Amino acid sequence: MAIYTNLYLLVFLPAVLIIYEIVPKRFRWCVLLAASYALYISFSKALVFLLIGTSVFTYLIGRRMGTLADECQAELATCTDRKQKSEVKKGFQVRRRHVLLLGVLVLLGILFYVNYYNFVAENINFLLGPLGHKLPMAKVLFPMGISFYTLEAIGYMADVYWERYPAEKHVGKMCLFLSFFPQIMEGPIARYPDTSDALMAGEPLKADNLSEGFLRIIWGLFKKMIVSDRLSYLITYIFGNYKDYHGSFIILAAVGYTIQLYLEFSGSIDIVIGSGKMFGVTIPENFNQPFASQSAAEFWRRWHMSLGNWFKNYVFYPVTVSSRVKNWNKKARKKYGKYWAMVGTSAMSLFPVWVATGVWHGAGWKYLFYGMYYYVILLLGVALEPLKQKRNEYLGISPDMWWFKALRIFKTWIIIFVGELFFNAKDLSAGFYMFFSMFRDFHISSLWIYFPDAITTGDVVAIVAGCIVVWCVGFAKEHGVDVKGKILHAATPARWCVFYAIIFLILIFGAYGTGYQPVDLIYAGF
Amino acid sequence: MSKKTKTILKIALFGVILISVIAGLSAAADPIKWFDEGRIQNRNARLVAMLKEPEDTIEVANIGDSLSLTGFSPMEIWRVSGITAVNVGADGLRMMEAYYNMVDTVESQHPKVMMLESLMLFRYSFNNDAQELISEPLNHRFAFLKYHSLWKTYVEKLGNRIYHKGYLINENVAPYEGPADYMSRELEDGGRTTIPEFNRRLLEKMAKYCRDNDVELIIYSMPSAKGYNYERTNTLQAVADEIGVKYLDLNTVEGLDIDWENDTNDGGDHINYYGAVKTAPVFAKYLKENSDVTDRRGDPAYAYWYMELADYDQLVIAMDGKSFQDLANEEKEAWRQEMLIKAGRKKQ
Repeated sequence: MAIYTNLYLLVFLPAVLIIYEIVPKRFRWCVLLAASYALYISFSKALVFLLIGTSVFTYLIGRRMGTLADECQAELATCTDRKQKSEVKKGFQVRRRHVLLLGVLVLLGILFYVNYYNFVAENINFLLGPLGHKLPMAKVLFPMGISFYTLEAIGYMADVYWERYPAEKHVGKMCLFLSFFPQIMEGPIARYPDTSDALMAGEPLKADNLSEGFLRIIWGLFKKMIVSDRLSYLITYIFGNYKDYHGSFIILAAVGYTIQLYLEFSGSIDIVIGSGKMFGVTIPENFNQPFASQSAAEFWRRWHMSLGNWFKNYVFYPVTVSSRVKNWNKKARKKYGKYWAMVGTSAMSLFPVWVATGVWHGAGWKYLFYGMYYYVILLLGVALEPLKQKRNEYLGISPDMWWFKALRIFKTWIIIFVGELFFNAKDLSAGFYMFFSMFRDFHISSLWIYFPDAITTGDVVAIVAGCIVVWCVGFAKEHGVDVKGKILHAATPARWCVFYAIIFLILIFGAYGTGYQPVDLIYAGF
Repeated sequence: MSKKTKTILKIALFGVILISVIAGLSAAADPIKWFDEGRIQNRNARLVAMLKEPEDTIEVANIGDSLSLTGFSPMEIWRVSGITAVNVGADGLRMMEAYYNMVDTVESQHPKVMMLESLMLFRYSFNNDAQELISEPLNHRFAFLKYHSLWKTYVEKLGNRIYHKGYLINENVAPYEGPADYMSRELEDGGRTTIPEFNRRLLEKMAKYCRDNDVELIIYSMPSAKGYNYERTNTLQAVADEIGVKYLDLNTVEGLDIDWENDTNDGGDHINYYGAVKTAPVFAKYLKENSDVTDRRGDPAYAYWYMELADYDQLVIAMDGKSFQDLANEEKEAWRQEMLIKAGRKKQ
């Protein structure tokens, strides 16, 4: 039961809202937990036990680290001299680190087995095949949302280890945090303090929250059903028959897929955030007009923000402040100068982030390439920054000039489109094939002469019109106009008119109903 | 009035307005007019064609997925028996949609017999079928939702399909290359051979609905070298016996000689026009022996069937071994060549 289906929107969500409101406040979290597991079972059946197991395990790891912290404090109180205190602290720190390591390794081990074992085994078998070694392939069922809730669980453990907040004492709260039903399929990846308290609070439903949540949900459906789902047929067709297409069609495929992915992912995140809002839970944002970015680095601060923040908090910062990197930086400054030390440090800190970002998206060389693609681009951005500044000074270019901004945005789009081309290609070799096909036999006229039957003129009209509406809203938001606030604070008749307008646009122009194959959420597969 | 009551009333009012507008638009919808204009070419086309038939003139309605649509030609059945039949199925039909097509047909035509092709009984996925459990009653109630994609026909070229009582002529030939005794083999991709509980319940509901409306429900299996084997047909016979309806298996029935070299358009999955010509007398014989159908040939009130048969026969000749898809492809290819010349990419 995906969150964009009528089963979820017309039956499941209203039923949960009604039951939630009816039951006493102290049991409301139980309603959310039961609903979350029910939704999970509809997808992954018995694998719900893996989710429950992960939640309990995360809770126990947190508790153990919490207990060790308490024991440490108690023991410190009995210490008399500073040296003794330091030794006690160090001893407990090591023990806590071992507990954290155990937690992280177990969760990553499960994630590795589910997502990557077959990929690794396949490659090892390819390399060692001639020697007669062969690793067995595993028949693994994919537990929905594992990549998302694993990162949330690891983030929680790390935060408890760093004593950013105390360990959770209520196992139910941990279970609910990791399984909350709107979030489980596609995230966003929340940090424990983001949602856990609100989830447990059991606050009564409020008209304002319902209204805001509803608006967010129908806006998400607009993006997904009018644009993304219609585009999906075309994109799937071109990527599936990539050898038949070249030149302008490959560019169309890259641009089209990027639009499809953005509107589908951000649309479903709107539904997630809207659903959470109805219960009074503020789920973190995941997108912030990414196509207004002027660089690849900025793009990743605006696109899938929760993933970017996770890697920043739990990979980038720890690596950057690690003693090895710090020492290297110190030595490099002396030996090679400030600039090369900065480039070297960035290279060392960014590398694990982008390997992990690539691999997180799935098992395959193309995902690793996708990560490395951005690694190289971001590193080049760091390395060339002084040069760019000199160029701007020499040519008298101010970064605020509109044409310069537009040029930078356009350059970023090209980077994004090429990245997504590889991301969605069947495999890495198909990605390269498509990339080089862009420069072969380029004719704009091919776009209409050979336009595949996968979508019709009507679909194209709906896609273009839908994109224009989404762009206008994004443009207004980017320029400080609070579109959502304006609608929600308008008088009831005006607000309802907007609601009805969006609903009827979806009902008339949306890709749904018998004969339409529902398009699965792309990120739910990761 | 408390804040809570106020909120509940507001939500209720919002819903009432929404449903009223949808109901109003649905009442204004006229699918028969759209069908006549050639705008309904999709999966609803057969159902609307049935609604367009004069009331209570159809004695046999055939419901099922693409297997039923390609192998059951009402015009051929009329030719050999004078039985008035229509196809009201759709490609990839699922049980919920089939149920409501059945309801629409019974309400409009009160047929004597409802033929139900059985392949969809094995088709089930929780997510798709649970979706249809909600959407199909809504589609049935609100034409505005059912025909919501119609706006597209105002911005694009209309399709080229010509239906004859819900049948599309397809003269394509693509021979079957598998084992001759296909009924003994295992299904490809481990196809389901038992009927899921969800479908079974809907089948029982259909059977009850037909009984209540004095319609004879007959389950049948169209010849398909890829869709059927003995395991499936044995399951169907057992279920039909349990429910108390008749079952006809055209894969094993005597007197039907499907030539899998010539009578299939896609390598043995579906039969083509030539196969449908062969199934017609078998259907006619079975219907005459097992139900109270009437031979309407010679009845002046049904003279228009002969006119449509003449159109059908002309089209059979004109199709010249092709399908409507082939014709559309040819037309598109000719247009492409013209555009390439115009774009200067090809010499005239």
